[in-house]
Amino acid sequence: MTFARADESLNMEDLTRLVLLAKAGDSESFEDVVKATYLDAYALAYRLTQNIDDACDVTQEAYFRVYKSLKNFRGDSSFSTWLYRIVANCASTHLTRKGKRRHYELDEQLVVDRDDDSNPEEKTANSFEWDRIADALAELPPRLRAVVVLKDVYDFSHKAIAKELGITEAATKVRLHRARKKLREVLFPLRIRGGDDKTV
Amino acid sequence: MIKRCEYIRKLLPSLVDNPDFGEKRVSSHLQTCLTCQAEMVKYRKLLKLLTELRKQVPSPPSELLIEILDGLEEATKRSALKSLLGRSRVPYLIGITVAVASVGTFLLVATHSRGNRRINLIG
Repeated sequence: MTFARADESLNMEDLTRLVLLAKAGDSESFEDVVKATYLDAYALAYRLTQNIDDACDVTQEAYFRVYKSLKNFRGDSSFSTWLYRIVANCASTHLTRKGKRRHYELDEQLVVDRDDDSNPEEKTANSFEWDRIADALAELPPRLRAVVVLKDVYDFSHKAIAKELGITEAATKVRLHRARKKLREVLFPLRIRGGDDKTV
Repeated sequence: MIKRCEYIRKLLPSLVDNPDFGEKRVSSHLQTCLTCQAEMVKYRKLLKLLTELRKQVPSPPSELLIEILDGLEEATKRSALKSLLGRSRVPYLIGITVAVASVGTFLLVATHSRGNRRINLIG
């Protein structure tokens, strides 16, 4: 999988200024806001849906909602946080509508290489294969994946996750617990001498 | 000790980002048990990786930006048309009301004058 760096976008002050102009009805500024943020919005949509087409649909839908409700954006949180919440909500709606359970694409970037003999524990964070984490996330059921992505990758609060996913805070905590446990099992399997990798 | 390890390991996924480690007996166990400490390290490593994952942005299809902007342009046009229709709705409704009222008045006057003529003929 190829990666584009997220930090190529505008700085926070420039983005805030553009958002204010867009809010006042300047369509060019709104276009600039989209250009500055769509990579991050797509990244979250992709992490939640694990499918390129779905991620594109969710991103488009999210910007449509942003366009419709920009007047209501009060700036209590940063624009990015607001955008992420909309993306999360759109992804949740999209996945529910599609009634997805587990999603495996033929796209080889999502295929988990189970024969990989390397031990991830020996690797440092910098050299860790990002694809392996992405694959581990893809292996999770969407309802667990959504919570762990929003909490541990995007630093949402339990309250915000509960609101955007339409579940209780207690449910987000339970799902987060399960998701972390599963990820730990996949990414850091226990090695048993003379046998296959086992998890604790 | 093993039973306590099992109990604590079950809690670790939720305790990893909780600095208090919940109960006191859990934190004291974690200070002394190397196996549970090792397990905690794995969860911390997992959280670190997930945090860093945010910086790794998967490249979207090249046409995505154009599709988003095209979709928004269409939405803008639709919204402009809607607001234009909304604005012209008021004079349009006033026009219809005036027309209906005029026709009604005309019919009323016509009916009334025809009635008067009949009365005159009878008279």
